[in-house]
Amino acid sequence: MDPEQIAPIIREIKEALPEIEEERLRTELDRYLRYGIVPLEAKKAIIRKFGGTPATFASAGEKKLGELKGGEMNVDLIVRCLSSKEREQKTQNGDRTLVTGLIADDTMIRRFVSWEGQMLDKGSTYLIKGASAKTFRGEVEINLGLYTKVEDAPNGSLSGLDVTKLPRFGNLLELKLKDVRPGMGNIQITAKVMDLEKRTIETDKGKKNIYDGMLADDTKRVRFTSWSDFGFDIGDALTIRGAYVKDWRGIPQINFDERAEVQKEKGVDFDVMKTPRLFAEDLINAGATDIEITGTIIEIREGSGLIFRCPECNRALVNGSCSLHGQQTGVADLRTKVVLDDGTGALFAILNTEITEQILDRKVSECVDKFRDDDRKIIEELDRRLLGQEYVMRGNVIRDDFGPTVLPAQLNLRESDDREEARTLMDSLEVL
Amino acid sequence: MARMREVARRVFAVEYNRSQHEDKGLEENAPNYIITPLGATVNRVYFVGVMMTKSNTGSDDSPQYRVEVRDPTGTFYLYAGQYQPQAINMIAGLDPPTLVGVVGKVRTFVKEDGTFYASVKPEAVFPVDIPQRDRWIVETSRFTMERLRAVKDAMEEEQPSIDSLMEKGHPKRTAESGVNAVGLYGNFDLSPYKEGVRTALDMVLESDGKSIGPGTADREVPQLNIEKDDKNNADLKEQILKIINDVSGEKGALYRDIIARCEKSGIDKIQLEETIQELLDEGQIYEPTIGIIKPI
Repeated sequence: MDPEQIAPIIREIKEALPEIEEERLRTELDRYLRYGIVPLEAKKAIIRKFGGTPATFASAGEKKLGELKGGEMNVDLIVRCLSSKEREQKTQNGDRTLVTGLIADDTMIRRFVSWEGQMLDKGSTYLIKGASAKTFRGEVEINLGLYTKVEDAPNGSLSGLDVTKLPRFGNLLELKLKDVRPGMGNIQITAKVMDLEKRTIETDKGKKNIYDGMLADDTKRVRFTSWSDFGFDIGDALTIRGAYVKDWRGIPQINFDERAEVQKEKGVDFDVMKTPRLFAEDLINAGATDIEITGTIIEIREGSGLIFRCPECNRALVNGSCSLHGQQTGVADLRTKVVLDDGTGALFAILNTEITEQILDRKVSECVDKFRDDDRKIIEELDRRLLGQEYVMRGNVIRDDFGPTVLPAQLNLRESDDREEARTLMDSLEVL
Repeated sequence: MARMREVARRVFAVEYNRSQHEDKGLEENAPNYIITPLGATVNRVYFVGVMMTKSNTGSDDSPQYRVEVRDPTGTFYLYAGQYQPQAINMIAGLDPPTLVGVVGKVRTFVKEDGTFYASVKPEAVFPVDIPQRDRWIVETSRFTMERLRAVKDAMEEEQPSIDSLMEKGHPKRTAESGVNAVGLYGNFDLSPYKEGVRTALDMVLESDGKSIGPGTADREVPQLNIEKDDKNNADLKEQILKIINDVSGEKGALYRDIIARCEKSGIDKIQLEETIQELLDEGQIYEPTIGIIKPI
């Protein structure tokens, strides 16, 4: 740990233990840190060791959010609350209500957790006395506890605060597109603009141009929205710092605005067409737009074949009845629900009318004529034609509580030269 | 969140059948996994092989099937009962020998003496063609070799960890296999698994890849690399029957004891399996539980 980070910790210990020599504290702290103990724990342990009580820390005084490194006790802060939310948490002593949210001063935005349920209201400015800073999942977080006092801030505090000028919340994470997940707050990516479209929207400040499109690197393609004009074009490779990730049906969508830093990269290009093989396990945690996935169909699921849809809402009828609109004369349709499994993960996939018609080599109307009273035959046909076949599906992958679902726009049997592949594998087996 | 669907692992019979460990999980209804010698964590499996035999151990009204499916490296044992109605229906419509794809869940049995057997509860058994089999062999070889490499690297490390293996370039799933394998099975001989992959790939290389569309009644059965000689066969049968009688205790003979004795006598394992099957079919021996052979 570098001396700059050590110094404030030593100062805090010294405040709790004024009679101990600083050199001694430094040696002690060094020993703890060498064992991999985090500074906050080391500090508490040292104070206890020398007979102090961590709770009797002298105030570390007023701090800015940007100065906090995690591990500070008893700091005073003047902050504005940007968001707050109550949350029930189960603990050993029963349920307790926590308040979490974001606070800001003129240095930065940080997350806070109020353990005793002290509420902060969005938009209000507070003087918080006796808070502590902890590191949680790599982010410094402000904790409000039993000994924390929350008061209204003196009039005029943070009056000039413009949150939109502050860096986005969270540490900047440098990622490949395949690792981008909905809800990420502050990411850096390098990718190529594949597709771009300008849109004009109405805001309270008048008309505003925004830009939608697709970004791709050598791992994945992800849709994006730029809320500001950065002057890039299709084909440009960009490094974007400070983007955030929204969620659309479990599919990550990258967003960035004037707070982000967008830089054109010369000489960087991606062979975006030759993306490495994407595995099902890569899609378990996030959906995707326009991807290709290869796997074997190992199950035809219930709800496949000839179905009848509600003419009002298009939901599939169960026994001629819609869950919203009651008994209906259904509109016939075909679909196939399958499990696509590539040995690394299992994905559900729903094959649409067109694809199912292709597989069966029959139109919906023919199926109605032929199989209306014996739709089991259609399932048998689907089993026979699909089970154990390896397919390449191209399309979007949405994600919900039951995991990812592929909605292929295209379905092709995988073409492979198995003997050639077997020969290559055999060669590498020799040296294994 | 709902529990995610379990992946169907691609594993050769030689690796599946040598599994000696399972992970039942602590939660209620937690999925059951076996951990193979190469560290694959398997709850569901997908394989392709020849359906060798099918016997109904239940009644005509409520059938229960015991099915053997052989891949190039060994035999998968399938048991389908009333809780696998779909598989029962599918098996009923198939006539051995025929090439099938099987999707199933692991089923384990631990004998009093601690011997561990892994078999398969089939969810689906369906006909496949030779290109589908070749495809499965190639993919399964790839996954098996990935695991082999990770286990080999893990064996060379003093304290292998997922991180240390990932640093050597193994993907996460394979790094996990390496750590699992060495943690549960220690250092062991990798050659049976390499040999298994070799035999399997050989089958693809020798296959002419001739496609028979699914649903065709007569399917080509792949060569099993067994050369039968009727005269020798009778002698062999006698010899093996004698061995079975020799190693048999009160409750019968352990299959692995038979294998061990036969190996000493220079009897090939595939020949042994074939012959045992014939003896079973002829009713000279029977298999009270999987892994135990008893002379009549």
